[in-house]
Amino acid sequence: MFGLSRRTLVGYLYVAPLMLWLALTIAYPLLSTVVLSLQDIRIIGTEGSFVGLDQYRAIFASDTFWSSAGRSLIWVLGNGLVQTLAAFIAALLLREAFPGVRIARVWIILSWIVPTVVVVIIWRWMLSASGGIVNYALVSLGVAERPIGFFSTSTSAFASVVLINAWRMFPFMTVIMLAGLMRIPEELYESAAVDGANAWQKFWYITLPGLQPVLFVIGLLGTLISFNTFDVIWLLTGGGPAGGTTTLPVLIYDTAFKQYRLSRAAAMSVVTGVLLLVFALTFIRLMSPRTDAQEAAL
Amino acid sequence: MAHSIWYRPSVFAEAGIEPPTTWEELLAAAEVLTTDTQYGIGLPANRQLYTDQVVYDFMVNAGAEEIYNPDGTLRFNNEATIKAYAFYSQLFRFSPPDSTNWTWGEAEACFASRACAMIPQFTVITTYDTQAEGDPNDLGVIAIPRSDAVEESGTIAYSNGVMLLTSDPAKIEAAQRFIRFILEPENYGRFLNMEPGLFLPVTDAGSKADSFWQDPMVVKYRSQIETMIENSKNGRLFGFTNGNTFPSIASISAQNILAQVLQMIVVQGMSVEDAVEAGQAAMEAAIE
Repeated sequence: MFGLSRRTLVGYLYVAPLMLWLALTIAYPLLSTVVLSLQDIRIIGTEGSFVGLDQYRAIFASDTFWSSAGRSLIWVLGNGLVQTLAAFIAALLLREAFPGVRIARVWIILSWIVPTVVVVIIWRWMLSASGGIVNYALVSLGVAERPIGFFSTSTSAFASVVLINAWRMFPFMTVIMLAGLMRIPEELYESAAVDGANAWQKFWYITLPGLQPVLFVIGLLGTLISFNTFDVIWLLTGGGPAGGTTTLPVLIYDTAFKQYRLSRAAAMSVVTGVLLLVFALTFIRLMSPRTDAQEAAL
Repeated sequence: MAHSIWYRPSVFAEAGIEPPTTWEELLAAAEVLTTDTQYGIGLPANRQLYTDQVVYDFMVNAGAEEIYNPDGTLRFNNEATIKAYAFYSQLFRFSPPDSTNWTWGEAEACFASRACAMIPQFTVITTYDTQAEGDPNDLGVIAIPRSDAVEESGTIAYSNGVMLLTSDPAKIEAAQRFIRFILEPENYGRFLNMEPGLFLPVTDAGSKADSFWQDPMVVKYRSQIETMIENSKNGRLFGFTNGNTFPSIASISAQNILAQVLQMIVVQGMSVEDAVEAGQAAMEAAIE
């Protein structure tokens, strides 16, 4: 039928329910968002009229949109740097055999398992300038004269939120990296040692290439997850102070549910979705690890 | 519910000062009470409802309680509003540095832990009773101090209304009977004491009802609650002043524009005049 073999047809039949489910749960909301972005609806449940690309023109002319996009970029880069570095160090440590390593490998995932809202409440109180343990320690040790307002300026709030989010997410990256490290054959390091390779050479020529598939996954998923982070930022700062932690997801929420401009928020979502799609396709094209067959063909 | 200023009489006595009634006295008190281990006053500057409420406290006491003209146009950008924000930003110097991120809980905790000498607070007595020392003799409650532009201290106050979403005469009649039942003084007292001290009576008969005053928490903090009721009598609410109701206040309130203006001043360093002007523009955009 249709020039397809029976085996191929059966394959399509097997995936058909899933494709239908995806169409209902992903394609429909996406299309609805696009349709919404072409109207001028302000509050959920109200009627609007077709305004063409007016919402897109408005957001492209908006300083707030572009400053939030810039902040999203810094957010992704900041989180990527801190999380990757922390995860890499933790994974290297956890790869070693030491008493209690099994407990440590389980224990490290704890901050990722704890619900976001709990993490946020803990950090808010720890960093409080009126009774928080971090400020108490800094003042007691003479590091600071007065309690520090970690959320008092746009810059300090942004840095604080990046660090808290990185603290929450790096264990997840650690586990993935540890899995990558464990599958690098020990024999490679032993051979390199026999050949007189030093620690840096072992890292550069064995560890890093061996981790390439894992780093690809972390680079792609980590960027998308970081970019879309909303809960930690919203619960910690609500996007403030003075918009200093307003990334695109926060701006979209704020536009829809505080400014009551649902169609404009939908247009922002569409633009953001396209940007992320372009990033993902480019990243896959440029950074996808080569298969053995591709390597052999070179 | 209405705002008052909370303080500890023992802390004031130790500092040798009296409870403030004017802005000058409040500023002086906050300065004297600020030490290495204590902030003179805890004031919010978050883009959040608590900040809107406290900003409005000072607007009311500067004579700027009207955000709207009677015809529904905005009159936010005026001298009285500028005066209120200018004073708030002065007072804010004696507040914890992270109060740009505060909601109600942080202010309560700051007062309970004695890190803040004063806070603007609703009538949430149970929090003080359970999280602070719970000593009724060392909890002072005063009206929000006023500027020289007004003769009497005012405050933000919420006196909830009843919305009937029906045109069915039978249902309206039933609802009216139910409300009359709730407002019967002996029922009303029990109703208000769902959280003792938080909800204040809005009827004269309710304010005298035994069922209200006999609750153990109300007995314990009777003098504070009497002061709170007195303060609430001069209460205002943005968008609902002088018998007018402006539904578009929902768009202004949802975006916390009163708080945004404060952040422009204390976080971004904008001049008070420019910030208030930007606030009026933001309000106009919000309600267009």
